[in-house]
Amino acid sequence: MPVTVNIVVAVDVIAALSHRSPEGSVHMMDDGPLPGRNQGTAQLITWCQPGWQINWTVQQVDLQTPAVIRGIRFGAAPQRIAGSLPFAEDLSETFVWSGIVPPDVVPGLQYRYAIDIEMARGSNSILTVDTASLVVPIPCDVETSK
Amino acid sequence: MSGERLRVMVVVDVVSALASESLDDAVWLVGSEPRGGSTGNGTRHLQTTVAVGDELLWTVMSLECEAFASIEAIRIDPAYCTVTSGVYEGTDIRYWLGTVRKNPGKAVVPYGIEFRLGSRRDVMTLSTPDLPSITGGVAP
Amino acid sequence: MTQQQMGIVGIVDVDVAFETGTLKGCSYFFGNGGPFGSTGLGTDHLVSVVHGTSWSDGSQAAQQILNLVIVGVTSLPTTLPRNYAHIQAALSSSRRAGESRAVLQVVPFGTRVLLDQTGHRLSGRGVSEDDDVAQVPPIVTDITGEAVEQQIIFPAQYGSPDLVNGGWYWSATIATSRPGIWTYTLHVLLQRPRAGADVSAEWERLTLTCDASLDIRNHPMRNGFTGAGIGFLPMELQS
Repeated sequence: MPVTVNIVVAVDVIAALSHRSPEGSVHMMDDGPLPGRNQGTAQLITWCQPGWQINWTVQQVDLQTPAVIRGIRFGAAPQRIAGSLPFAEDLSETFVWSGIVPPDVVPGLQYRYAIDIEMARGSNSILTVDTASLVVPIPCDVETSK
Repeated sequence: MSGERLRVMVVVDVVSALASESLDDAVWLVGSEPRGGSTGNGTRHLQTTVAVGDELLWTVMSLECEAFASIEAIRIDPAYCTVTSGVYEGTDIRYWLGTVRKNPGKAVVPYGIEFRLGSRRDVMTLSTPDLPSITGGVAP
Repeated sequence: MTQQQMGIVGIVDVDVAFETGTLKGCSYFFGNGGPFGSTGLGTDHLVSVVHGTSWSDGSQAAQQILNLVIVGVTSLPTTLPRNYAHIQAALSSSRRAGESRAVLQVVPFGTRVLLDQTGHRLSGRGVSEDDDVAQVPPIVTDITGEAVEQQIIFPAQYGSPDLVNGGWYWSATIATSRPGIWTYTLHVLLQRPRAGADVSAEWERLTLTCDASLDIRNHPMRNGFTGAGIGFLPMELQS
């Protein structure tokens, strides 16, 4: 049965812009059938299986501030170049960040990813959170929620 | 009070200022005009016409209601205008009060504003030459 | 559905509006869409850019909401509690009664209390021309115009659930399926105490209108990983 896991990245935009760091201003949560570890932190570990769909959304804690996900990069993917975007013709386009876990993922290994969150525009507008990961559990290694 | 009280509301887009690390395009001034004659109302270049004995009252307003903004200092030539700050009784919401000591006449006296925005530790300052100002030319 | 809220702030010089009978030239609107293409900031006609997105079947992919607040140019800061005037009235009454420490006394419901711009209570009797009265914030009584008639925006008035900071504000959800420039009209009620009259009896009232526009843009929603539809995640291990 296809399973969807939603990962919400809650951002306190004013705090993130003030301190230029995800520390204390980014809180990630997922709702998968196997609850992830470190819920509410920037170090979320989300359990998944090949074939599952993962959706990422951002939610501003201070509602009237703008925040969008500008990129999600795994592993050795090219470093984000400031201002460049994967496909957008103009900066005002937004994207949906969803994908299927591929079949060749190695169980037990942490697939770290980086999320670029853009808040307003300018030299300090992009916050990168690179401490979360996806993991396929090794059979008989399924943890109960902590 | 012998003169008029002129209000200046300083509007700040806190998120834009923090994201661009600059107050350019993120600050606008709106002033009351009991005397008339102000120019640049609604922009950063508000030029307020004043006379000796007038009081200028500055308050800050952030565009995003959840964002903290505060004026930390108003920097103006004290020969023309001396400033003090006060708070609304029972709160820590601050205002700045300037008393006009000398009529600027045809001269344009610029003033700088320092802000504390969000939870950023350093203040942010309006940069020259793009500053608001006061001018005279009005009979006291 | 992801949601983006936008704030619009309007500052009106209430005294000038009463004298000229129009909001043109004495109202100043701002939004935080400046970096995203909004224009007219600091003028009486704001054009807010709204970036909508839609799925391939045309349905709206994200929700845009507009929140509107209007104040007078000499109004008290909006960061003060809405009932600040009543708190000040109660404190000043108790001081006059000789209390050594401030004790809040009940101010009769419906009492109009006037403060000056630094938050001090005015005499409470007549209002003179020289009094530095903090302008009572204008009230938006309606939002009309083609944007409403064409169902581009769905405005409604809300009361804040916060009893201390409570007050009315307007909010509108925006349908972004029809790109273009759509105008809406704000109906604004201005009020001020009539100079010389007993404060509790006479107020001048004036309803004026002011136009603003929405520049609706619509982009198709695409997948950030593939640029098109959904696919496999590009999962790689870090080296």
